[in-house]
Amino acid sequence: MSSSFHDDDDIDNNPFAEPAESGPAETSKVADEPIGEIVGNGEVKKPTEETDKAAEAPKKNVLPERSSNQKFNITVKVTGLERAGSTNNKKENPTIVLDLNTNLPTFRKQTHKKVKKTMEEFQQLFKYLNGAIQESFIPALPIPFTNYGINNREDLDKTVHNFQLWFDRILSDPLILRNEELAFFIESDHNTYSPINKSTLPATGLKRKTLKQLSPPFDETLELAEFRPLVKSIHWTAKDLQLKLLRVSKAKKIVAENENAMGKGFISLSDYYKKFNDETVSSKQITLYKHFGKIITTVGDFDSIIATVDIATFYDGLEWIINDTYVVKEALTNRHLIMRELIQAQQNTKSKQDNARRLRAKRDINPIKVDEAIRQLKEATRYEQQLTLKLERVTTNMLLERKEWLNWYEEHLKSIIKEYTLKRIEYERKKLSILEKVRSDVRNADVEGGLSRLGRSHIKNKPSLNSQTINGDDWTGDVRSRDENEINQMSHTEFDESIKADEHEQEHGSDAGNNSITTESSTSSSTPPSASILDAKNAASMLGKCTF
Amino acid sequence: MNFDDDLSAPVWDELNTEDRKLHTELSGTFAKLSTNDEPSQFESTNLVDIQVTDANLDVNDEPKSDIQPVHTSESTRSIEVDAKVDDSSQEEENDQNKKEDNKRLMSILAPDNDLLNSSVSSLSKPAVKTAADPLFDGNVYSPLKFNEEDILTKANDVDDSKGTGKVQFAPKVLFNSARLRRRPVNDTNEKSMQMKPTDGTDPLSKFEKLNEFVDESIEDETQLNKRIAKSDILKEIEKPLFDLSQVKRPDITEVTGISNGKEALQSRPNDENDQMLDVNIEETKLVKYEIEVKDPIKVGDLTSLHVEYTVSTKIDDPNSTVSQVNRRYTDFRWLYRQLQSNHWGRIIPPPPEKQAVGRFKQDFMENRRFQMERMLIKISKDPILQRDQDFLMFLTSPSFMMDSKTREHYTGSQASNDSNDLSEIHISDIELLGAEDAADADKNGGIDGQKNRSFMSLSFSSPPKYEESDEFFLDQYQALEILEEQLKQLYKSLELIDSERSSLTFVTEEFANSIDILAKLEVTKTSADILTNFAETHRKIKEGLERVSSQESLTLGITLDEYIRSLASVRAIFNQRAKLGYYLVAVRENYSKADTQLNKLKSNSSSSNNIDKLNIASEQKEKLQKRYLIVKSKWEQIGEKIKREFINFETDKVKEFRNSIEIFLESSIEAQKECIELWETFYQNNM
Repeated sequence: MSSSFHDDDDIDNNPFAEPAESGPAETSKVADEPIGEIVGNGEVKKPTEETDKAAEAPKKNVLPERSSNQKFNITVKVTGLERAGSTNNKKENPTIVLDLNTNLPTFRKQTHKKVKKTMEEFQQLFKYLNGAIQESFIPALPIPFTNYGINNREDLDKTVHNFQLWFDRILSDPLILRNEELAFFIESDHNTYSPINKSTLPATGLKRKTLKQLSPPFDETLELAEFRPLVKSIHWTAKDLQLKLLRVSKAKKIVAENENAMGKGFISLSDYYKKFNDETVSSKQITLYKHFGKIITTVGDFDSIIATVDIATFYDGLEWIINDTYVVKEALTNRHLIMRELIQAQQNTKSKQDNARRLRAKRDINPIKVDEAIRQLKEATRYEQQLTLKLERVTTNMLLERKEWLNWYEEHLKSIIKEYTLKRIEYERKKLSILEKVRSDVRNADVEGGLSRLGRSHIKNKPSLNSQTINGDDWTGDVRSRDENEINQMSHTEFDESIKADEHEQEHGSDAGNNSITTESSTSSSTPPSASILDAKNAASMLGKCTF
Repeated sequence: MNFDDDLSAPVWDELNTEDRKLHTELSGTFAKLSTNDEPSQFESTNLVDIQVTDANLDVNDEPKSDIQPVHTSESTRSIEVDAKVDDSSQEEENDQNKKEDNKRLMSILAPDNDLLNSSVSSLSKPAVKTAADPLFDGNVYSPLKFNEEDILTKANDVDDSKGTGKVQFAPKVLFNSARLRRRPVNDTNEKSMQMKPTDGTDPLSKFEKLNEFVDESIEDETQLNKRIAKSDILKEIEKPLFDLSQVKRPDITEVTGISNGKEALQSRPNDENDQMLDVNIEETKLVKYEIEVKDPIKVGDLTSLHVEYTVSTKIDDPNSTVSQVNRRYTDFRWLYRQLQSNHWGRIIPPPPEKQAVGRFKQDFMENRRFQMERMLIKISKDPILQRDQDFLMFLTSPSFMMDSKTREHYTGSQASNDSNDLSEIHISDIELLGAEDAADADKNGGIDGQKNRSFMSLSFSSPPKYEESDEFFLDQYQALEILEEQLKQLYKSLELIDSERSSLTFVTEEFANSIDILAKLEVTKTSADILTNFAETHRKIKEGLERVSSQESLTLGITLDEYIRSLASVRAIFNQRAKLGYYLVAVRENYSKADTQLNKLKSNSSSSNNIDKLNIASEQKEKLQKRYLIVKSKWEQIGEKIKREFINFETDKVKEFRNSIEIFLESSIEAQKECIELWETFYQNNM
């Protein structure tokens, strides 16, 4: 396949496709796929490039993939998410459904519809890419599940969206785009993919760990030299932030729990008064306790929701940053390893050179020895040049990727904070509208109209006690126009039904004159079942109480 | 300190107006007194007979009652003389309250002698009884009203003269050693000197009177009953008005009627109407107090370390009394117990709960200070409690240690035997039976223990059991307990919310700090800016949370806490009723036992030996009968009072609770708006 393409656009980076190059590579570990490709390209240009360090020229030559704009593209649309199997599998290993369209020759077809890939396959692909393309910061995979909890709409949307983002990032990198493994990945059957090619990191395991302990080699590219510690501290700070956020959310949940308990306390207080003190406590008073209890419970529920949403937005968002910074950091470590190897190779070349020079100075020249020395010198030089080229390529690409990554970081951070804020505002507004619903009950419970009126009969209660209307918020001068829909969304919550159900029941029982909680006709159909649920609850609470 | 001023002032002022008017009536109706007295007596006797629920008590007592009215009319006349003499001094007093104290003392000297004579003749008591009887009657028979009034006024006058006259005897008859100590202490305070000797000597005169009373106490039980009932009502009304009343109260029957004549006079109209009215009238006369509890200071060394608070009071009376004293927490507890003992059936604003650990933390002290201040202010807003002698003493006395001990001893309140449970009560025998009878009862093993004592061998039998007959009390008590339980749960969750919220603010702060750290990395300029603002918003949210938290504990928290503690106070009055009921059963049993014994003796009363026994037995029976009636009336009366108090309490508390809910709600709404605004602003500026 590769033969049909122009040199610059060569997308075939499979080392086995070029047997001539794979032979001389002494350390097969280092000479993996990209190098083979570079060797293929760079052999002619090598002498000039080593000296020429100008920014523009080498980029074009070292990274041919980047020079051809938009020649190849893949468009991926993630269309769905399937969770099946055991609970753990549902959580950790969902199946992503996607449509794909491409003009890449590595793919057999132009369009692939409803491709199903499991999370595990994605992880395989990622692992391969991370090893194979050391020039790039391979975007970390999104988390397989969100903290919204699986099996709900938000989680599905969010996860699908995250995968879409991931594909967008991956496919914007020409180096990844040109990797044929991508085609293998897409074209393999569901849940069968494993990398066809092999990819290896410069060092793994204990060796890598040991090498990491050494102080990083001198780096003349200041930007990248500074980048690694920066990324590292982002990683750790984000982790810390996650921890703190978790604590905040936990505390919020406990508060919410207790708010629920307090609400229940008020409800049982109303039951108490209903049972014992009909004469001293007016029915409005009883209604007040009941509604107030309900409202407090609902507020507790909202606080609990907010706590969850906090986690689902900011925590999960940070998770991606953390994973990504880890990948970036490791990629930078790889570069360090390459640099270290280059230094070694340079020393090797030097010693070989010395050896050859010494031989030349000697009187009796053993032609075999001379040949051997020259061959070794050549080899060493070639390896050194190879490494130099590789490092150069990595450095150049990383400089570009760094900028992109910073952009991504900023965008991502902004988006998660934005999401967090928007969700927060949404629920805080709902909380407010819920709180305002009980206002009239509180005021009506007192014949004098409560503290808002203090017995001044001429001051009537405002007909509308909602501070959030179509015209904006009544506490601010800012113009925040909204349409009816938004208002409806704000003032109607998941908990309306339980409150309303109670309302119905209460209307049967007494003549309480509160109509503040708007009974929407649209949901009235769903009221009967919820009322029966409430009855069951009531029955339970009655059973729990001692009867005298 | 102006101890006596503020006590006497309002009372005297009222006397000024009412007393004179009555004096004119008095002179006009003197003549009628003796004639009208007897029939009224009889009528009332019948009336009371009906009221008495225990029919068996009426047996055998009819003949005796015939003698009694004659007795009383005579004594009334004898006292009339005293009263007339007294009038002049009384009026002078009314004109110039403070200046004429000495004068009064002097002028009283003469009448007092007369009084002494009359009391020697042992007829002063019946006089009072008659005075009281018509009053009781008056509720039903309006024609007799005038007479009652007259008699009452007279009685008051007599009482006044006695009250002041007693000063003479004071040194002679010291009730206990505590009083001896007390005087020197009070000497430092000029004003308290004037009145306190009086009240110090009261028990003495009480004693005298009681002795007399007991001597001639072999009388119609119905009359007795009547007397008790009436005087009790009187006492009940009078009690709070006049500080000295408590000391005198031990002689529950006549003596109170007489000694507190002033109050009786003042509150007599109320008697005729409803007692609710009384409260209304009292409210109009509510004296304004400005009470502040402040400056908690740690006092004492390691072993006796405690916190003293400064209680400064400004009373808006004619003298505009200002005082400042140091009190510790135990003193507040003492005040609660003492007031509880003084005012049976009244819900006393409770002090904060005890707390052994962490007593010296600043916020704890502040909280306690606030609660104690609320307690004092609440007491001062109650028209009856605010006039309580012990309350005023608490506010003003520089030697509280002594005074409180003395008062406690007089009233037998055992106020310093303070249990942790606010609802636990102690019924003072002195308060119930009067000092003399209480001492007697005590000698025989307490009111309830008497039977067990006398029949040691039979003490295995279970003590008498009191079964509450009125369903109101049973129901309400149960309801109360449930309510308390529920409120406690509510309070607990509120407390938890508060503590959890404070930990939330803490972690939010930490979170904001972490965001700041991330921002300081300056990964990019924009992200750093956003993060800084993000952290800032979180900090503001945190501040909002703190405000909400303190708002919550200040509104709902304090109201709930007070509600719960007042419920304990409410339960206390129910307990008082139950305890009285228990006494009632115990005494009734003793009485019926004595009765059967007497009958047995009567059936074979042949030898002289038996006659002695008969006398003793009948005396004993009389005593028990009297005691029974006292307890019974107290028991009934406390029941009535509790019902009234309870409804008031409920409405008050519910209203208070509703108000704090409203404040809570409104502040939550405002906090919510602020929160939304913070996020909106952040969003607008950064996104």
